[in-house]
Amino acid sequence: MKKLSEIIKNRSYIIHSVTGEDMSLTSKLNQVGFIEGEKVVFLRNAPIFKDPILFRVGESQIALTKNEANCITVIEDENV
Amino acid sequence: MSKKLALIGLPNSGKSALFNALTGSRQKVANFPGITVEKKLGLIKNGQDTIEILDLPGLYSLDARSEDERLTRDFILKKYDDIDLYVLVIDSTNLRKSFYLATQLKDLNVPFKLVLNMSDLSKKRGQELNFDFLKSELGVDKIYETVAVTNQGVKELKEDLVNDSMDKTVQVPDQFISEMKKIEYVKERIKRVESLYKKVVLKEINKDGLTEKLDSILLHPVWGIIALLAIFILTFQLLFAGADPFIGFIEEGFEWIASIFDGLLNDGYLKSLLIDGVIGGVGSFVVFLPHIIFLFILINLLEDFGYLGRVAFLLDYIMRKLGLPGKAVVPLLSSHACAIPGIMGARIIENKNQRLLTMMISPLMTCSARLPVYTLLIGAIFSKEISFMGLGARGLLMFALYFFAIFMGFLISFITKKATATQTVNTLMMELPPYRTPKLKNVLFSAWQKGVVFLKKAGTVIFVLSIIIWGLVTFPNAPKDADRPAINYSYAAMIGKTFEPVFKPIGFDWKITTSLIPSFAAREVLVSAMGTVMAVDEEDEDTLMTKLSKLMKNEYSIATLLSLLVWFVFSPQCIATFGVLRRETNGFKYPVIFGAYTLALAYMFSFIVFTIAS
Repeated sequence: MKKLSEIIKNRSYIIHSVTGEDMSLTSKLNQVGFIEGEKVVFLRNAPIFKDPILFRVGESQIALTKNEANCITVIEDENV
Repeated sequence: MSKKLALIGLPNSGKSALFNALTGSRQKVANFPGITVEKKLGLIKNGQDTIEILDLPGLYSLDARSEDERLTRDFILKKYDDIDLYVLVIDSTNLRKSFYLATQLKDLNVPFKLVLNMSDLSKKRGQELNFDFLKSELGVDKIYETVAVTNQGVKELKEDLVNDSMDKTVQVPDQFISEMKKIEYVKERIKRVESLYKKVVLKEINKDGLTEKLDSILLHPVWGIIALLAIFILTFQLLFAGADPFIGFIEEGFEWIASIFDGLLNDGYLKSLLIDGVIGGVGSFVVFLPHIIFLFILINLLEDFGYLGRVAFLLDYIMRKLGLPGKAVVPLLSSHACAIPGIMGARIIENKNQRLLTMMISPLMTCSARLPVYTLLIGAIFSKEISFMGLGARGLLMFALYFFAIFMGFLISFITKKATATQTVNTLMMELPPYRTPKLKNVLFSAWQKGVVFLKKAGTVIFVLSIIIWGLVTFPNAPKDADRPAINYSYAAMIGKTFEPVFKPIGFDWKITTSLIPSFAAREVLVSAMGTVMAVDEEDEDTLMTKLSKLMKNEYSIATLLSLLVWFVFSPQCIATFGVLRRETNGFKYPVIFGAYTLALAYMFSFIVFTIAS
């Protein structure tokens, strides 16, 4: 199990959990598509500071700050 | 009473394009008591029938997070006006996410029509749907497939919106707002969305290869930054090149009108009021129109294409540390042309606090109206020959002023961030939409609208203030045997002399303080006002500048000139800024705060500079 902020580029992962102290943040992450069981791919970092990070989740591309990505844990997608 | 409709949907669902397609040009900005977020109100016309429709801010779910989202939620939960029917706009290339809100609306028995927008894209990319199942699950009798940007499917929707009514009333369970924040609620809802999605989507959408290819260049660590710089340079070059001829045209037009009245009327108050007050006053804000319209054409092009979100992504980290979103770079850069389009451009920022902060620091950027003032004063401070390490001292000082303004803007933003410690600043969670070809009609229409809003709302304030300033400079008349220029006998001069002691610690005499009053109309007026007060009789602007520069060099100490220079970095000098701030924040609170803080900074820094330099 890994944090979403630490996964390898262009490899498919499955979201295991979305947790954090700030409930409104986690539920918001859910709503934009970071849902348990959903596939997620790390597409690229922003230049220089490597933060924010761009992911493909479901049908869309969503940019998260490192803090936000830290709320999400993933497991490797073995079906790929 | 005709029925009221409201458009709702996720961000980037094409809601605003649909709103434009439904209402055409029949729209205005709606104000509701206690609400500062701007909403657009439009009319749908179908034959004899006309109904009102409101464009509410986009939201992901009823569990609203931002100010804008809360507003939409409160409308749906019946806290405000009674809306009879909602139109839920869904991006058909992005269904799963949309179902969260859609199922919530269904559960609360909200009367809504379901619109699948951008249906051409999803079909082209091979998506197939089970419409009957979707209809029954969301409790709607019909699904409208539209392509808002090309008006496809809009006519049918329009007809039904006018003719149909839905017999449903919103039912909100007790404690609903706290209930839906609970983890159990969210989990259960996601399960439902997932199962709905699996049953509705028979064939999934193909991946958007073009967007990924473009992103691999435009978001690349090296090429992406180069592209960003190139796009910014090009954009602001176009802004100047495009707007400047129109500004010249408008200025000449107003001069021409003034010259006609000049020939028609005899000298006197009426003539002065008409030419200097009314025509000058109207001209002073109409002249901003080309910058505003061109900036918004360029912003709309970049936004429709999908690039603005990428700007935010590239610059988010640095700007976040300063308490601003990445997108704030756009209004801040355009403020270097003029703060008016800059303040209006802050609309691209969704978060209200960040938007306010951007608006408050935009006028600090070195706008083009400061250039004549800087040129005059720098010319008086350094002679042409003085240089440091081969670089001209005049150019260096000018550069330092630009840099100082940007630095102070960011410093103020940083301090505000530390002082308020708002949580929202640290979140981004932003969707980068697929690249799309901008539709020119939408781009132009929405830019034109911004211009009209500016003329109507900010124009009146600017006009009234211009007349007041005209009055101060004109009355009372100089006595018959006056040996000095007429302005020396005016109220402006009286005020200038009264306040002389206040400004003495920063080195200003009454001539300067008097000249500051008319330059509230526009900063560059300081040059001609100083010229009048110091009795430089010169029509030609360049010669006036040179003569005045010399005269000021002899009359004032370097400390005073430097102090005045610094004053113009901060001073809330132009009334158009107040007019547009009042318009954009919907009240006098922020213009007053802005005036107070810039005045305080101007005085403080002028004092420091004057004291050190003396």
